[in-house]
Amino acid sequence: MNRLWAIYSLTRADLLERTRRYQYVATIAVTLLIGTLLVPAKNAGYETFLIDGYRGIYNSAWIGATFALLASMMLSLFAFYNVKSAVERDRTTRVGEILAATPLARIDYALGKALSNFLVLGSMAAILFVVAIVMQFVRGESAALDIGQIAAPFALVVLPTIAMVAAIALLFEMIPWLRGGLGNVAYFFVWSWYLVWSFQSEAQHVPWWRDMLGGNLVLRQVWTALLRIDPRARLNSVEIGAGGESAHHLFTFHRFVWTGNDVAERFVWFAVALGVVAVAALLFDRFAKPARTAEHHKRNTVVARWQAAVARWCSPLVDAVFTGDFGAIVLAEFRLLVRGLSFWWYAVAAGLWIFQLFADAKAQSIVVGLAWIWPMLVWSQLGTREAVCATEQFIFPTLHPIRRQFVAQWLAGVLLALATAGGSLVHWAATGSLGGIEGILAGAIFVPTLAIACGALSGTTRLFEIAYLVLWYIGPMNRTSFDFTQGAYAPEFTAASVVLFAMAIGARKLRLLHA
Amino acid sequence: MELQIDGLNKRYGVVHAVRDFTLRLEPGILGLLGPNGAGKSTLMRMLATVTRPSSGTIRFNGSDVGKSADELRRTLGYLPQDFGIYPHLSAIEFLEYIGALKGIGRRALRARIATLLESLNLAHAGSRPLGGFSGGMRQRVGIAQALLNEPRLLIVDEPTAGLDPEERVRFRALLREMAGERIIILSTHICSDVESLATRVAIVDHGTLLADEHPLKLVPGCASLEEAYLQIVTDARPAA
Repeated sequence: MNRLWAIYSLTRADLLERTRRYQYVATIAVTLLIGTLLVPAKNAGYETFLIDGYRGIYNSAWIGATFALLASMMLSLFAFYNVKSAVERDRTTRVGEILAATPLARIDYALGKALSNFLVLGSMAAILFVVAIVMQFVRGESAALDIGQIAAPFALVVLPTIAMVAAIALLFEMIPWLRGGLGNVAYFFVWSWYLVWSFQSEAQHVPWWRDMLGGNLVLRQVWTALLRIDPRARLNSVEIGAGGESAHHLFTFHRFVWTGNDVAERFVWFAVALGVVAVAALLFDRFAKPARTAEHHKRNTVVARWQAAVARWCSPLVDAVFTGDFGAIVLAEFRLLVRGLSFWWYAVAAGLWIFQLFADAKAQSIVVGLAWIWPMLVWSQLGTREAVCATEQFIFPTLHPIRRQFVAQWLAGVLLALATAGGSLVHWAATGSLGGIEGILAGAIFVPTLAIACGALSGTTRLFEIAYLVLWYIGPMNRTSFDFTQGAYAPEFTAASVVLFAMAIGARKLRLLHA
Repeated sequence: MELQIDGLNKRYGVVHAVRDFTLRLEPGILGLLGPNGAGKSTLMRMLATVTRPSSGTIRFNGSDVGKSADELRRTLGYLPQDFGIYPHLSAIEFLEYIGALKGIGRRALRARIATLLESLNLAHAGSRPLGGFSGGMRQRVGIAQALLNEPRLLIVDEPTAGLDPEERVRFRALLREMAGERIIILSTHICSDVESLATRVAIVDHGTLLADEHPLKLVPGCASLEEAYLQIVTDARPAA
């Protein structure tokens, strides 16, 4: 009884702490907005779910299918980053030190935290469920509401997915090298690979272990229904997400038919999730790592030097002497940005730099893309360092902390972008391509601006890491119109940089007011 | 009841934070004094089962804490020097949370929280979010969580840091009242706290136990505990 009471209390406290933060309110608002976008109007100019050009009329079954597919995908990616902070919170708030001295068992702690993750994700799923019902009436293509046809895909597809995400997020927090930015990057690539792999099969039945997100289960039911109307409909011509294409044909997907096997195959993921939680519990160190390790000491030393530099250059007392020395602040920020990077970091950056020199015009986008994914975890410090290192009280009272220190920090990020893409700049200059140079310059401004805006808005590195990874993947890696390294899109990305920069300044001003 | 520490060592890489520390404790208040970086907090963390010793043993009532920490944890109250709170929880919610983890039943917990909030002059603020608390109020919440399970072993690291004089007096009275049949380890830089409360004083420097005595018997001839402490620490250091 006491153990259940302890797990309940841990889950409750964690949940209350999370849901009372403004970030949670923002997350729910975004979920609500995205939910409404999943069921586009006929003339919206985009579709979210098509099979070989067919879209189902917006009845309960089709809306259930669309929401289950997309909610499972979105919650497994974006929401993972949202919930991957349950243990980190105990470390950063130092509540962990108190918890470690209680008789709480490792497995109880892991279960409580995983449950809290699950409930946060579940609250997002619940919002989407309500939006799904509302959107059926808003679009008005079918007036007959069949709650079961919306609820069942949520229960069978979305819930097992979020159980796994809750457990995996916890596991990542228990493994030291997966806790931070590296884990965020690793998850993105593993998730992308798994998604492609799980939808690659042409078989009528995909084994359960290849379908954690449950997408195949939904897709194959819809496809089977479609084959009755169009026997030539191809499963490998599916569009999921905000595609530009419009539906060529409408059809009626009447209802899901779930077999016992379908239910078992989905519910087995709850057992797998429990297994992952058990592994996480085994790896849980009970906050045994002392607060002042060598790494901590090293970081403190770097932070102390930075504070001294910023205080020296920004202090109102020395303003008369240093008014013209803005460059020195930029240099201090740049040094801090790159301090602590290993020899191998520079070696890879140098290799990519040389590669840019010799890559042909077509390959430049990919090579620069690689050169600009490499410093991602460096850029993610922009706008967040003061909050993460708890130095706001030192930095904010300095003279013009935005005009001087904040702008200098942003410029340091731009310098890093220019330095890492220097090979490409030389290449374009040598070939006389003004467009190429424009692309690099616009990208070099855009990426750090995105970083500092995300950092200033969220106060954490995570928002930039996930936003940038997604943009980088669909942009430079796939050469779409989101390719911020292309001269052709330089005006758009420059304009975006201006907006983002204004947002960053606004967010920092607000922080200054409320610090 | 006794706490037996035998040949305790803790190393972090090349840093030897605690060296061959041996001490036997019985009910009473032990004041732990030492300069910054002396190894006091590391020792406290080991006694509180937060971190494991590199070598040596800690026995509570004869049972090896390294082999089974839960027996000690059930009856332990621990206030770390550097602890945190969940800023969006109220004091009552936070204490309910920690109390549940300590294995206290719901009804008993509510009564205990009410008593502690009253004793620590926090009753008026129990429902307010902790994020809005002053440093002293947070410290008192920390003290309250340490006392929730009426611990038989109470380990408090710098408990009066951030408390105003009135609250400090109140806390001292609370500790004195609790002392009785408990072992209380009080680490602090404030000699007057130790002088007024402790039945024994242990002085630590460079991870080594330099002295273990009744405060008044520490160094005969010294006018105050502070003077005695300084003399012991200075004497132990090699001449420059």
